[in-house]
Amino acid sequence: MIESLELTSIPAEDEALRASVRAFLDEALDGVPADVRARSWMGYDADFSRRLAAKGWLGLTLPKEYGGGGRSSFARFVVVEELLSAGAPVTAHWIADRQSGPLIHKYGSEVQKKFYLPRICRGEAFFCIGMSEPNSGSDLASVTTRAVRTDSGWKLNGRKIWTTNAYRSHYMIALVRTSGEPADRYKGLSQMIVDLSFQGVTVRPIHDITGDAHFCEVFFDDVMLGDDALIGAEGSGWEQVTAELAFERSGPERIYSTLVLLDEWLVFLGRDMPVDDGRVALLGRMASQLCVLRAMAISVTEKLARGESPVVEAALVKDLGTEFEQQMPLLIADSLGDDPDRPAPSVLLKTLAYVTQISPSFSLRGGTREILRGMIARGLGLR
Amino acid sequence: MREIIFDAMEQLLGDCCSPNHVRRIERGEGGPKERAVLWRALQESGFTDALVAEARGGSGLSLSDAYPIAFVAGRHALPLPLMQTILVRGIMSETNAELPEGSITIAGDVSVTPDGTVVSNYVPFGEVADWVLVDFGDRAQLLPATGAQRHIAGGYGSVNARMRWTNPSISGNELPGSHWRAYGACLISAMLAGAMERTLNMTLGYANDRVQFGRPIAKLQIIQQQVSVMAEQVFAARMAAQVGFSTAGTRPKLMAAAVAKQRTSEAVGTVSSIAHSVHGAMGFTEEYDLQLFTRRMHEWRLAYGTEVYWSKIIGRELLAAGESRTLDFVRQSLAG
Ligand SMILES: Cc1cc2nc3c(=O)[nH]c(=O)nc-3n(C[C@H](O)[C@H](O)[C@H](O)COP(=O)(O)OP(=O)(O)OC[C@H]3O[C@@H](n4cnc5c(N)ncnc54)[C@H](O)[C@@H]3O)c2cc1C
Repeated sequence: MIESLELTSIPAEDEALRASVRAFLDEALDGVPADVRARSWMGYDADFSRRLAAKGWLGLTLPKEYGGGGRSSFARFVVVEELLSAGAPVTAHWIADRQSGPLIHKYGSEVQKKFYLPRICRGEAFFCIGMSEPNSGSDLASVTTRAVRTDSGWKLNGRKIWTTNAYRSHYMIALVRTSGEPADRYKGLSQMIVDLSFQGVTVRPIHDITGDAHFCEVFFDDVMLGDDALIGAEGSGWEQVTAELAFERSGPERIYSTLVLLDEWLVFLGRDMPVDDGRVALLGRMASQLCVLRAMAISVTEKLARGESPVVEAALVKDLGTEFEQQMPLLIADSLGDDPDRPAPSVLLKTLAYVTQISPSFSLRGGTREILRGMIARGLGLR
Repeated sequence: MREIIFDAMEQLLGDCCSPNHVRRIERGEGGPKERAVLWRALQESGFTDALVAEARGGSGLSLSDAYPIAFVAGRHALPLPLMQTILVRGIMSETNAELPEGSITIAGDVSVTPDGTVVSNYVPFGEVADWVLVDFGDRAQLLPATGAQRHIAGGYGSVNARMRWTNPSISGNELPGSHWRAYGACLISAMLAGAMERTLNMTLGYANDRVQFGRPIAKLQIIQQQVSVMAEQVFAARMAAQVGFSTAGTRPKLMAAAVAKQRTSEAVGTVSSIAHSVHGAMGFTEEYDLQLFTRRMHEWRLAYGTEVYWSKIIGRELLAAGESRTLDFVRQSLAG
């Protein structure tokens, strides 16, 4: 069942992280134009990721014994909020920090934890998510990539698609079938860590509609994996992938990834435009929506901090956040175009163009709008 | 604390403010006596002095603690200005003022003609209140409702009034002025959230019960998707109202109140239209309770400024702050 979301505030010790992150970002992002920063969690800079790691800001919620920060999810919220709203290029480490690390910590063996987690925290191991396949999108349980037992481990065959950053990551956590047939659905699925440098792995980047290449096709031809590739129990893949998606959807990405555009527009309004009721109302409305979405995201974070898995609540905040983010470029474009005699600066137009083009993906990745609404409906007792 | 208050309010209104009571008071059936009975029950519960300092015999709660009172009032479509009374009494009790008998509402606007006539075009609960707090900008004053000409300012069942005092007998009790519209907006946002939650619960119940094409309509994917959208808006409205009430003192903060009213009002259209659509013709009848809540949602959206009014206030404040990061403005002046 879905639980109500109560207003919570970020504990002072976690809020205290903000100033140092802000100071670091002010320097690191100095002079980077808004249309580049607008890429944020799609922006790749491995060196930047390692500098964050050196500051201790990767793996914040992982235990210290594995190189993590031993902090609460509130601490991660503060750091992530700063990174995303400033438009820092975080995609290199993003998936490892957000979901692969916590997944390995929750389900991995001691050996796996000791091997992967310190590397994630140092910014040396980047991960990608191998869930979708050409014929398995929303219907994820139908995956056909298969790992078969061998004397020394597993032999992997099949194909993944839309795998973000596969061509510049070290590892993939793949959802694969280890027994049964696709008709067996949730039974017989397992999660494997695949070293992408292994023989038999072919990765082909795909360009998206903004012209960038981040997601990929990945082919597995007789890839020989060791025994230690299996994470968690054989056959528990579905349960684990559900937990992983909860980590993915609980993050505040769906609130903050268009803020660079909003701020660029705000500065333009304040500097170059006469105060006009329509524009002011639009600005105020977006600030108000942001305020409420943020309060909701903090409330979800509080549930994470208490060790809960707020799956449905996170889906609700994500879907609402998507609507906010997808409306923003439309509304700002409408406002910018309402007075052709006052042209907007080209960096604002470029930022707007990027956000407009990328925005359809907001309600696709991490589960489509329709799938999320189906989860909410179940939480409401309608299914 | 909040849970205790929530449960106590639910119990109280469950007993004394059934949908039938609401209808009778709206229609003026039983006259002022009917209202007086309900008001006495509220007063005897002690809730009217929730914000009054303990030293003056009240409960000394913060506005934040009192949130469930307003929320539950909305859940039951309480037709009397309980929360307005609580706030005005709370703030008055911080001065030497004598606390008046009876219910108090807050006027949404005021104009004064050259001959001293005071007019307020939209007084939420004006038809049923004993006192009206009118904000003249430099000061705010309580005017007795009995001394006013009142006309219903709304459609069927409305208790909002247009009020006019030709010779207002200004009581001696003056309060600082200029913020009362924001205060009223904040209070009514929680009532809005409560009313919206009630329509969501009714919609879930109805969708699971109503059978068409051989199965509950809740099993139809399009109904599931629509109700999910409705739930998202209700969740956002509830959070917005909590933002408005988030103060350890008695007075709402201006920007928090603005967000509360902006976001709850914005949710009204979607929530009301999906609730009605799922309920079919049944939800369109007088007899079915849905209308008690959806009618109010539209009225309360209008009361103390709609989402556009508050959006403009927030937008202007954000531009005036000279901030280059919206998030910083939100963190510092909104979420506290
Ligand atoms: C930028 C981007 C990055 C991505 N990164 C990754 C990644 O790193 N790893 C990964 O594994 N995947 C990734 N994905 C893939 C993403 O998870 C899928 O796109 C998503 O799950 C939807 O699958 P699909 O694209 O095959 O669409 P489909 O599932 O074919 O859906 C098409 C349409 O049908 C609707 N639909 C489908 N089933 C139902 C149903 N039961 N009820 C109602 N409507 C339905 C959908 O909502 C959608 O509107 C990424 C996608 C994008 C756009």
